[in-house]
Amino acid sequence: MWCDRTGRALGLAAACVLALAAPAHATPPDVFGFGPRTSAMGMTGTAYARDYEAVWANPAGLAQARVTGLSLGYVGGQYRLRLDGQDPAAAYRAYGIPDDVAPGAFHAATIGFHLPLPFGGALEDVFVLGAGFYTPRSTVLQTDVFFAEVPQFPVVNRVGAVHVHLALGIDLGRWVPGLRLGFGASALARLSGTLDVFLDEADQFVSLTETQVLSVFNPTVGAQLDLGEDWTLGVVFRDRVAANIDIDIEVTNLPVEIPRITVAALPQYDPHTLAAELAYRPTRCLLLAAHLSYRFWSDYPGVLSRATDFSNQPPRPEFSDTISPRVGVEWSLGAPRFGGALRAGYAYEPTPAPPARSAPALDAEGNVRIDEGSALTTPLRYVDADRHVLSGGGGLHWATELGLDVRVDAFVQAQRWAARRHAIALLDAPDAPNLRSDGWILVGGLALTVEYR
Amino acid sequence: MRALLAALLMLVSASSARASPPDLLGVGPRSTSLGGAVGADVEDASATYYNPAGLARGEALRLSVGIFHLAPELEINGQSSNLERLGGLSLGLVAPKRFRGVNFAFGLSVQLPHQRLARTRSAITDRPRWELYDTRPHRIFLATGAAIRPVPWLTLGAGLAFQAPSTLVLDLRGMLDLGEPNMASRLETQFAGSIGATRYPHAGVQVRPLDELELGLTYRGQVRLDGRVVVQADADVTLGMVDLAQLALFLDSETNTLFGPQQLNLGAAWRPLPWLRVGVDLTWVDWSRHPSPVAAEEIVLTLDPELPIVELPDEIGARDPTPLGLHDTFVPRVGLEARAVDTRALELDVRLGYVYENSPYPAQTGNASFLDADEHTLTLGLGLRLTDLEPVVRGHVAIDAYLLYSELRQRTHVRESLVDDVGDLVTDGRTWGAGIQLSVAFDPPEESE
Repeated sequence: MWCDRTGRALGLAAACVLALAAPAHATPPDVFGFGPRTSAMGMTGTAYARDYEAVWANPAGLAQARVTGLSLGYVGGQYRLRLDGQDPAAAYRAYGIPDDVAPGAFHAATIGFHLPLPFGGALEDVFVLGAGFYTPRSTVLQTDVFFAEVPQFPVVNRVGAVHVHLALGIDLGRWVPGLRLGFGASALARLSGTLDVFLDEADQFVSLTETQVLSVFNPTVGAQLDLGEDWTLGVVFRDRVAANIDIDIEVTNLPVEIPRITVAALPQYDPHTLAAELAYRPTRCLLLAAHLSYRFWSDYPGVLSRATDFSNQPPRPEFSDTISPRVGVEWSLGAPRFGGALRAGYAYEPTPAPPARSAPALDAEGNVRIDEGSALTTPLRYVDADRHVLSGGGGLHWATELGLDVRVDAFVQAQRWAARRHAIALLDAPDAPNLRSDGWILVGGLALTVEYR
Repeated sequence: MRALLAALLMLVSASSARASPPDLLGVGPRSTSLGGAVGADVEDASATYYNPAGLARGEALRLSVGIFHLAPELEINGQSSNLERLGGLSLGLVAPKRFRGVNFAFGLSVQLPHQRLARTRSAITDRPRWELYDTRPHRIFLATGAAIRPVPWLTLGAGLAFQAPSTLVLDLRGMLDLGEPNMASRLETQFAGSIGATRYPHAGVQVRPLDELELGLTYRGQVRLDGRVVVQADADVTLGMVDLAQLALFLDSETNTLFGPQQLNLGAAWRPLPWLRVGVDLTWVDWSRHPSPVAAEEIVLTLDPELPIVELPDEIGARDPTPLGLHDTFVPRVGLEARAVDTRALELDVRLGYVYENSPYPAQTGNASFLDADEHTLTLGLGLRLTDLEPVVRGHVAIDAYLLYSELRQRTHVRESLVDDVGDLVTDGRTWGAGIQLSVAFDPPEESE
């Protein structure tokens, strides 16, 4: 699909993009996308992704792969969020929380592969396996869960968890022209544990403690349909991903009765997502994509749970569903042996969260607490805002004489975290002005992909 | 308060499994049924563990999926220890490619327990516990490897395996009612927790000095995971509507939650007859570096003002790690494989293996009760290979299965103290295991050869 032009100008432009990408990193797919090509194109890809990036964008796209490929990447970025014009770390210090847990720089490695299964006969060129791994540096699951009054970022601050995606693409074009299906699963780790403590006959404390790291698997299904030679429609549904921590502490047979304490939270959550995309190739050089993602955020239960059976419930987040429009463009240049591409995109990510506010305080049953005829409130500082995601990137492609195709792709994203005035002050201080949030999230990534037959 | 403190102490004292699951389970039916004596010529996905160099031996793309089951039946003083059975799913991938006469390959192997990715359970020094069997197998094993065969008689490989340590910083606040602790107490928690990722290396080499003889050398790196828990509690102690005191607790505990010793394995595979393979391996296991599983703790507790109705501990002890006193071991392995049926469409292999693992644990004569014993393991396996499946499969489809039986020698731990609370311990037991795997190998297309 490379255009028959010299690659000099393209190479220069791509080199500039690579230079801008500086240290390469990656991010959890729901926040930043997965893979440098689709991330550069405004987190689109449902209709056109065709290699390991398809395990997230749409597993049906895997079925387009005719060569085996292995990709390694190193991706990351920097949160530059501001609360009342200050770094969140300053607010955390005011709440007595170590400021090193404030959103800041993040780094991760990405690994992906796509593997056509070389069956013959009727099954020739039908099945393609793919996998994608996002692995934050030295972390499988990072959870920072605070009391509800502490400013926190449950939507955008979800970069501290390993995501694993496995998928199978099936090319049904032999039977239904242009149709591809895909099935996949994403996996996250969650933590569970119990602690039973009792007093033995010798007045010694005895415990039975168990902690378990469990896996959460969530299915993804997708389809792609070629509508003639120029148009492709893609649809994908991703199941909700919820990785929780749940540790019960139970103390029995003691002189002093202690309530059962539950340390429970939901630090990693991606809502059900339904996405549709139309890709159009007006020429061999140009790819255009228009995308809509519907996220079912209204199911979001919030980060924290109550600590004991009769403790008060935390306030409800009251999130709303969102629709995210995205567009992407790719311009390919070069000869068959050497070439490249320039990419750009835009995504609008509306926030599902209402402003941080004084939310109704709930009792153990979830009813609003009343004191002397008045409803009680409690601070709830889930801070989020609309995001405008501007992305760009490029790639170089080299078909070596060894039969190896080598690709280097890079992307950058500037996510503008729109200014927002909330309905509560940053700190519980009299006459303090309402919290104002704004900022940026900057992301860059680089991946090296080797493909061969 | 004392109970709450005890609960938190117990939470942070959780110790856990220590060595990597493949040491007990094996990886892959063929390698397991040969007693793990495959370091010299392994070439399926289990090479990621036994010798990553083997990944580059073949040119076929291999995919495998299987299940495994392990049932320990260990006893202390004639009573069952009720160790949990383990079952799981195994996945394997070997993706080779030949460029200009040189083989390259990438491999991936996963053993995924049905129940969980990892499990840890608290260790109490004097409570009898099968330290190497209790929760040791209950962990995911994930290993990757890459290899190269620059010349037909030499392959080199290296890889990484992964495990996960955890850290938890817990804040507890609210109101603890002494009169109605369940109904009237109101508590809140916040925490910062993480499950980390630790990588440790595997590397190996395989050489073929003679057509009938192959040698292999494998190094497996040490993995050590330390879990840390920090608890900070700040609670109002009340009785009804009356505030009585302020409780503050700080506790910091760090515990070794997993230790896998570094290992060096030397293996040889000899094929005296076309239908017979004999494998012998010897593994050095560096158990003597094993850290103590007992937590190192720091504890500060205050109640302001002190209350006569709340009996706080007079002295809050912080435990010090004590050495386990393990010694290194040498583990011999033997595996036999014979081709029983060999036709154009079908091949059938019969396999037999034996492993002797002498225990690295000394007799538990003091107050510790970490139990182990020498172990003899016998394995039996079958491998069925269907080779005439073109045009759908240009290669073969294989079904491999194994049975495993391990016998722990009876061992008596005689206590030095005549008034020891636990008393002398007599241990023995056995472990049953089984697994089956379906794999498909796609030969490379003609034009790439």
